[in-house]
Amino acid sequence: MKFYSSLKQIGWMLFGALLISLTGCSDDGDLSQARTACKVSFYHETSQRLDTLSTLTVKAIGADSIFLQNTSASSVSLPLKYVGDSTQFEFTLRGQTPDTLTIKHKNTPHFINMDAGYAMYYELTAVTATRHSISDILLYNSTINTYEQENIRIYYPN
Amino acid sequence: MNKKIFASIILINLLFLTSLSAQMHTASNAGKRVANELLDTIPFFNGVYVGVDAVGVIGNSLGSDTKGSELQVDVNLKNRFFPVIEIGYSSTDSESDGGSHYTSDGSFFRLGMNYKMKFRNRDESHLFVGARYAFSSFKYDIESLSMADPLWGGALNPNLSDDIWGGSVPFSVKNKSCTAHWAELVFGVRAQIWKNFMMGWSLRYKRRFAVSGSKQAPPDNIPGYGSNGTSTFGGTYSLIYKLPFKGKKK
Repeated sequence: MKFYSSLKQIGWMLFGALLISLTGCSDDGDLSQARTACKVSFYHETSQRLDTLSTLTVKAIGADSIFLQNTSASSVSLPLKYVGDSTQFEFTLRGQTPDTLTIKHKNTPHFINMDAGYAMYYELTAVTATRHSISDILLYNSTINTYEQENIRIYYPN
Repeated sequence: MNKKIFASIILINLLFLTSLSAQMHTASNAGKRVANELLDTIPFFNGVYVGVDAVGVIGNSLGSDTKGSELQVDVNLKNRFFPVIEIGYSSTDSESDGGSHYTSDGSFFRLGMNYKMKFRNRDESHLFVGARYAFSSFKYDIESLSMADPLWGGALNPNLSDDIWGGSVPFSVKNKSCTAHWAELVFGVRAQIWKNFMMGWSLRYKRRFAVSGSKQAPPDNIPGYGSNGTSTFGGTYSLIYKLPFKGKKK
């Protein structure tokens, strides 16, 4: 009887060892942090409603990247510079004269965790644009972090 | 005639059932009385147990980034309640593929109670459930510095490099002080191995209440808690010794 009782106890201890080793396991997959971005949405000037623009091209100024090329879109997510406090983009609507969007920002690097890595957070301090196709511009939300939210509204006429 | 026999059978059955019910009631009361008497014979103080957790030591030797240990002291009251205090130390040293380096070290304590299941059984081996309040105070470093770029020259931090406009930003937080507190729900087993020597394990669900430290660089690992999330699971695997003194028996 004592032998079976000891066997039972050994069984419990082995079961515990298995359970505890399982608490240390994790299947995190690829948790690496995507680059944070400034979300710019397009609005209709008179109705003040979200608008889908056709044949829009958005390029980075000072780099080779093109974020939209002759496509329809109601918003675009634009990465900002890690080094420097100002980032510029060129917006071309239906082949018209391009507009330049200038975003001034304060950069703060953040540590997320060892699996996800790092992310750059921004505080937008000012936003300006030329007015060839653009009617108006609004800094809607100045915070950029890992939670994507609308930051800038650009108003276009018809 | 048949009716009379039928009525007699029912009457006898009723009498039998009433008598059986009365007997069962008496037996149940007697059982409760015996159990209460048995409880009364259990002394209030039944010993002090000192344990050392082996998970930190074994885990580190098996390749874990965290090492440390903890001392557990609990007291057996009425063979049912086990107030417990756990004090420990833990350090972490981990490095990511991108060259990010995280180190932390600090101490923690937990205060709580275990409740022995089947407490009428006087065996030392038992299952238990419990709860803890825990607190940790520690320091940590996070570093992701620029490395020499072997392709283009210059310095580059691969963790914060701008692949569109170029350039990179170094990141370093040194000697950051931090505190954290949390609660734990515990389920465990204690098994008597030989005389006063025992082994035990516990599985714990941990729920974080608060953690201080920098918002820009939160700690990755909390001593005694584990990976810094709102909740996590953990466990202990302990070697326990019952100190050889006893309370007075009633």
